[in-house]
Amino acid sequence: MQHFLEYDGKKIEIDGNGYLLDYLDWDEELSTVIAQLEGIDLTPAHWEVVLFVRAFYEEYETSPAIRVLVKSLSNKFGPQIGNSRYVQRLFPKGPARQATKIAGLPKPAKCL
Amino acid sequence: MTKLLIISTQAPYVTSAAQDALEAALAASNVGVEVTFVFAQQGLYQLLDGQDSTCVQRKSIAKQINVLPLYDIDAVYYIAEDMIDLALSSQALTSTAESIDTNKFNQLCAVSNAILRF
Amino acid sequence: MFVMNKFLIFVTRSPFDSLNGLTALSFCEAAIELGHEIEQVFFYQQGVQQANVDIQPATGEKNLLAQWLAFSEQTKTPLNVCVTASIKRGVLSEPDATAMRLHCNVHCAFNPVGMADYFSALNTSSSCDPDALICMQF
Repeated sequence: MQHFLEYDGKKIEIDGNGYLLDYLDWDEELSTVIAQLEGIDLTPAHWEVVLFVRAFYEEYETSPAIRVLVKSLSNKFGPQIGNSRYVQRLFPKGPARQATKIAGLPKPAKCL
Repeated sequence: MTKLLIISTQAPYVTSAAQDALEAALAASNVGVEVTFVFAQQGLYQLLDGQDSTCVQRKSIAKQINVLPLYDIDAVYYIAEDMIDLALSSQALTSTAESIDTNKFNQLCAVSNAILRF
Repeated sequence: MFVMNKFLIFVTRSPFDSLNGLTALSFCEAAIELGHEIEQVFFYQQGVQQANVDIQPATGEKNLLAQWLAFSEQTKTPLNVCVTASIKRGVLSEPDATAMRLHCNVHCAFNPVGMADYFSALNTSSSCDPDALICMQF
């Protein structure tokens, strides 16, 4: 069964859980649309993490596990941002899953 | 700490083995297992720079290898003899992996609690 | 003197295309016969097909799945199948099948788990008795 996300006259293919099938279909507006579906109003603090996760995926073709995300954020932005309570507050349904979804990335593997 | 040795022996993309080995490494590291990752035999082809995996519709193995250090997997090696057998040069290989000889490889096998070969 | 070993078994090939599964099963049976313990059998890569109830052996050929089930029931050995590896190969456990509105084809005697489960077991066993633990990959 095919699922789509429709916005602004565009039709983007997603999986049954709302993750983009092709991460290259993404643009910033799409993040806003997905975030709204998740009940999140994107603030600059959200964007910082969303764009970071996206850059991580572009570099490594894998989404970071939570501890790797926290560590990498800490390396780049310092411990204020690179800590699990901070990202958990921004993405209450789980930073690894929710931030990747909003960043237009595929669903992280269950095992990882 | 539990020591796991993962040996990746197959060329990338032809089969899923390279991908499966990397996923196993990340999963093991996530639960606190100390992972050593060794490329052997045809697995050295995974280390070649300048891989473009889009033409085979696969995720890049080279990029995923580079993520290993971020998962605290710093012991990433390839076997020097195999590099010579495949007529590869160390300049063509990613710097994420270090060269080891067969002796060192045997030592790694001996000190590991478990070995998985892909 | 007899030393009891604890085995973690890692199966990576499908039942028809390879002898891998049967070799693993025979090994497990022999180990238990000798008084050892099989802590779990974990199915990864194509090994997930060992749990696939839709595989129908040709008439006159043995059904390996039935043998895994009999073994697990007799010995209470957990059979664990990697969910990530299995979904990619069309082998769906009940929760995943329901979520995707597809049919479940993992036998209910197999537990759908993450790979973390296997490595946690490795971690636990190896920290309490590293000498007794043996990991076997098939």
